[in-house]
Amino acid sequence: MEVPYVLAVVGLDDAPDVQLTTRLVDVTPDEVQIGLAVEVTFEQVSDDLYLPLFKAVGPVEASR
Amino acid sequence: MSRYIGRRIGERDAVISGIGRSTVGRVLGRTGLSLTIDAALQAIADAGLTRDDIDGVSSYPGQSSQSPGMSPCSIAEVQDALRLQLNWHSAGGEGPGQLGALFNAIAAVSTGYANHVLVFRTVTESSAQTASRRASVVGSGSSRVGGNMQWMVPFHAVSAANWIGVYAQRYMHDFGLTREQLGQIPLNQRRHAALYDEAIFRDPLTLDDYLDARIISYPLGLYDCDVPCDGSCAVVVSRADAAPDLRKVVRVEALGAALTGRNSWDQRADLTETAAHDCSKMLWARTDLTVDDVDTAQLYDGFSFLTITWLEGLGFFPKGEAGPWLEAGEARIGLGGKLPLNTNGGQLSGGRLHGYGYLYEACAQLRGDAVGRQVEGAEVAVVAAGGGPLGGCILLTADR
Repeated sequence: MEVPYVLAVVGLDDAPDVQLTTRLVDVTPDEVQIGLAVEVTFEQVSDDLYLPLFKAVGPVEASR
Repeated sequence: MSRYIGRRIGERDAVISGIGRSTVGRVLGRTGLSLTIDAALQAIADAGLTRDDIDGVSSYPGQSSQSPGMSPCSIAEVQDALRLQLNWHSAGGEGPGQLGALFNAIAAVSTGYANHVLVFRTVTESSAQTASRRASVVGSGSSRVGGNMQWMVPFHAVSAANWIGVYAQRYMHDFGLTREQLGQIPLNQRRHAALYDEAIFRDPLTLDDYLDARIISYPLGLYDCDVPCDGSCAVVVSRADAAPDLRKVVRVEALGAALTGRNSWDQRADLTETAAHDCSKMLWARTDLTVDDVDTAQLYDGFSFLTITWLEGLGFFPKGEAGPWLEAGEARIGLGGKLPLNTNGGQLSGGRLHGYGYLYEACAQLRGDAVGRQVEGAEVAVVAAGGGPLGGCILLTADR
């Protein structure tokens, strides 16, 4: 794994009791801030295994 | 938590009657059993007891751990080496953090299962990690990752530095804590380590050293992470009316083992709070003493930020105010300060004895035996261990 990489805990709009520890992709550490709106992107890691990673959909003003 | 009021506070029927500590260092190249026997024999003799008196053994985390050097000595080995005849014994990793083994011993004594319980915690992480060239990360071995870790490790959240960095980041975001303020904790521990010749890292550490060190998992840098070591601590927990040498007794005032939040690293609704906040509420509900009565605090610093969770949970400052509180530095948490904190150098400079170094130090302070680093007139000490969903704390008093 190349460093640095961006770990995040992502809250889900449609499942407020669930938080996912995951990785953000296509974003640099400097561009990340708490409250950033993200959407899922699936990374295929083997024939039948996909990991839910997240990428930014745009900046937001306030944290949740 | 007024539900505890009026109930029996069973932990007061137990005392810590003796303490022991092996040589502690880096890459000692000794077996876990050898270190444990040193600490155990010291604790038993310190209590004024013999091996024949020990009828209980308790340890954390038992043999299940996969992390190198994390659990290099089993109860079975200790029992056999010391030829103990036991009425009760227990070791395991699921519970209120590292001090769970101490709480179990207290319960065993309080309920009458045993009279004198040997409690030990041994690590050979320094030797094991050096030999295997494996850091203390999950998923680097051959076994399948299970439990909560299966949801974190595939995303490369493999180390406690990763899981705890997230909490620290959130706290900084919500409350404005800075790295300069956080750095007061490792700087404080290093000052105390200089006073204690058993500590591992004793050379002076400056704020610039701290800030310039490499980042491990932002915002945690090298000096925010504790030092893997080899060593063992042991205590004897005795029935209060059975301890032979009352000069050395440390009393148990109250303990906190609660976990009311979710049992997970990442599912807690408020990611600035941990089990530390739950345990602390339970502890204060079981005593008439208050946070103002505490003379010294020995609080987990496996990562510097965890000390903040304990300080805040226990109520040394209002929620969110860690930064300004810590800014006073030595005047606040130094040996001559209002709350001498981690007077043995903590795990950050003293070595990662995984909770039991704090317990040993608190007992030494309350007995007036902390040579070169004694908190004058220390009568009440709070000890805490753990991070995230793991946590336990205990309030101890001098027998004066």
